[in-house]
Amino acid sequence: MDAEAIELGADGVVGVRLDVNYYEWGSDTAEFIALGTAVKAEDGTSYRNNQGKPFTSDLSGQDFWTLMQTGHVPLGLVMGTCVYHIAHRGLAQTMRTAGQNMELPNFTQALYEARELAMTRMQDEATELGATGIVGVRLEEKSHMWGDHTIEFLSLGTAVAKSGRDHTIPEPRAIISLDG
Amino acid sequence: MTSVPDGENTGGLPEAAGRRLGSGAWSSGLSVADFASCLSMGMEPLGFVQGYAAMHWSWYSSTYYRTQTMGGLGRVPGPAEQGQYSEGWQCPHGFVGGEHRMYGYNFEQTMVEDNWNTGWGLAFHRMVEEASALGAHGVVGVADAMTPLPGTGAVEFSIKGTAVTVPGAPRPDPPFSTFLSGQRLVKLIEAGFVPVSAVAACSSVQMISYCITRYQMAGTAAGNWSGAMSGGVAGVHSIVQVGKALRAARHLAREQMRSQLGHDELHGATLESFEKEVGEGDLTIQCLVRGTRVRRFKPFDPLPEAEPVVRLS
Amino acid sequence: MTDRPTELQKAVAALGQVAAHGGGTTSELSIDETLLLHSIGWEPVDLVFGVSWWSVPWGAWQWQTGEVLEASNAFAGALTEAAEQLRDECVGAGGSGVVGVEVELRVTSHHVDVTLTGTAIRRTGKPSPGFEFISDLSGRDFALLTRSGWWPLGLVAGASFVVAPRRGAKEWASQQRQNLELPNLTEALYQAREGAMARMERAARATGADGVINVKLREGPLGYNARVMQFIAVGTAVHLREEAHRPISPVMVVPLDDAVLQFAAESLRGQG
Repeated sequence: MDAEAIELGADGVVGVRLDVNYYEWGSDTAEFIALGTAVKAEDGTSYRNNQGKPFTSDLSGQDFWTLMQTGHVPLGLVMGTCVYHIAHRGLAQTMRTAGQNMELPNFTQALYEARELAMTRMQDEATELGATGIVGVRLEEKSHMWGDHTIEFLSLGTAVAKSGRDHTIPEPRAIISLDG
Repeated sequence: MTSVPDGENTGGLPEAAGRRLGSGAWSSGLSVADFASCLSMGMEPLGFVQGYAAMHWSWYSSTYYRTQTMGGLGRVPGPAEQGQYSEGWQCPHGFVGGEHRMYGYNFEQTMVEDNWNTGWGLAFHRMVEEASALGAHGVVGVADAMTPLPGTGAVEFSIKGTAVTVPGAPRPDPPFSTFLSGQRLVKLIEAGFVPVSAVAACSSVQMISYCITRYQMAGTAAGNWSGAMSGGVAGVHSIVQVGKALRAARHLAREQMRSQLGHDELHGATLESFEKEVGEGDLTIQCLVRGTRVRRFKPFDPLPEAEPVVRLS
Repeated sequence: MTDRPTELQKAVAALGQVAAHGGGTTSELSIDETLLLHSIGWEPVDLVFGVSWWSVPWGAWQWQTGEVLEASNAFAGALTEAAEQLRDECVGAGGSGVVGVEVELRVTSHHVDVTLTGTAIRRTGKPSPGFEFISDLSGRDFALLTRSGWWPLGLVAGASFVVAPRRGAKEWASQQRQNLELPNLTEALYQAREGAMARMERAARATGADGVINVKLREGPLGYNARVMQFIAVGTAVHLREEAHRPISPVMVVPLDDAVLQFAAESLRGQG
């Protein structure tokens, strides 16, 4: 998708939708689809990121406009993953002896570590792009059939940076919609 | 900033969290619209914070089984503690039989409630700790979830939010927290309220039906059946025991919530109720109430009247 | 407009002062509803509930055709009982009305369940004149209603359950090869509708209402018994308090925020 955007001379891609499909005909095969709309600034300013590539973001047109009003620009979609195996069998003994009102600290620790790893990797990607922050962070969890109790943590967000341009956040009007 | 996890459930942050929170760019769970609203309020995101606790879990306490094996002839299970809800019913029929439930009880399952409070509380405090470590004034956009860990008999409490700072204001300790974010939070402040804390409460009531309730639940209560055939329409009854159990669960949740408010108010409450049949005609009922504890910091300032609009597309 | 960052700083500074008295109210209303209520001089008091389950004799569905009076009586009984509980809780909390009532209904083969959840409200700064109404109108709709000069009187409902007669064997056989209407089921649905609407109207008239608004309907076959047609109507009875209706003149707008698909490349699979 990046390559297509560069060919078009775009500044960035908005409304990116990512999808992963697994098909019956390829048990070890996964299909990744990335789809978005390439955009270009009308005033000729370049919005490409610090690696000279068009920014990518899953922001809608409306969100993109709102972000620019706050004096920030999107830099790219950043992501971190971590695949974790929880050896829960070993914990079965602990579970049997654990009473009510008792936390399972090993479990908690393991899940916490895994998520932090995923998020740190995402944050590292953002730092590479020179971002000041990440908005819209989503933490997704999937259990996979790769083995018992393997969990994949996926952390996704849009890296942003201050644009350094003058901006005012407009004062919204209070309305009461009569459309139900 | 971080403490080495010591294996006890006192909430030490994992080392990875320390690294992430200490590094450059902040991350946030805020949508772009909420991000814009925060900035317009003079609030800046500091980082995405989270807290988790995995707990051994069951929806009803073991006292249920004890009552079952005693053929329902036992006394009210467990001593009724100070303030614990419990009510009993006795069969009016005057005969004893294996299948005939002579006694029925509604009672509060404090073990389930305590278990839930511990799990939610641990997860919540860990999230707030992460925010404190960042030097935050508060946490907004809090989202909580309770996920079963399949095959383990455990559930995981997770609470996440975005830590924010308010330049120019003193730092509250602990940082404030709220389920709200974006424009809803802006409006709350404009209305004269400041969020104090996200709060939640859980109540659990077990209903063990006695004979009358059982008949009513099965539609076979005495005097129940007449119908059109005998020319009458009688025979519908209020199932009193069930109504009382369901109301008790809701009242308990509301009162537990109220006890966490001090002299503040609860705003934006949501109430969820789950019922599950455990054995024929018996129910276990859970209610969860969540909301934001708020405090008035200035008198209500009437808004200019909002303009009514109609969309053309 | 107020300077927002200054207001927020003031707000956060206030967290250092703990309130000495009062408080303890719980409210389910959203901030928009709360603001609109405040703007017409009302405030939320407490979350209130009513729950009532009524039993239905087990043969009621199978052994008759036509209206199942046991079921509609159970419905009426459960709704009345739950509404009374809601009213008692409202008065006990010091409120004079309940808004935003969520009406949860369930009809099973053995019982009819009604759960009502709402927020009790009262006039700000004035003593309560006693109980006035419960209503399924949201805080916003209540504010709009009173702005135009109307007043809610209470929740009204009507339900009817009609068992359609079976078709005879000859009739069944002759209908197999054609596309046609099944008159027995249509009849049953019409009968259920008339029965339910008549009951709701009667209940509304008994309160002295001019009409019923915000009506929610549930109609169609009962999930577990397709020959029983149910029709349930619930709404708020209203009355014109002012001399005449006060029209609201809205501004027409064209929104530029059409819904956006997030994270789904479904159009590629022909599901766009």
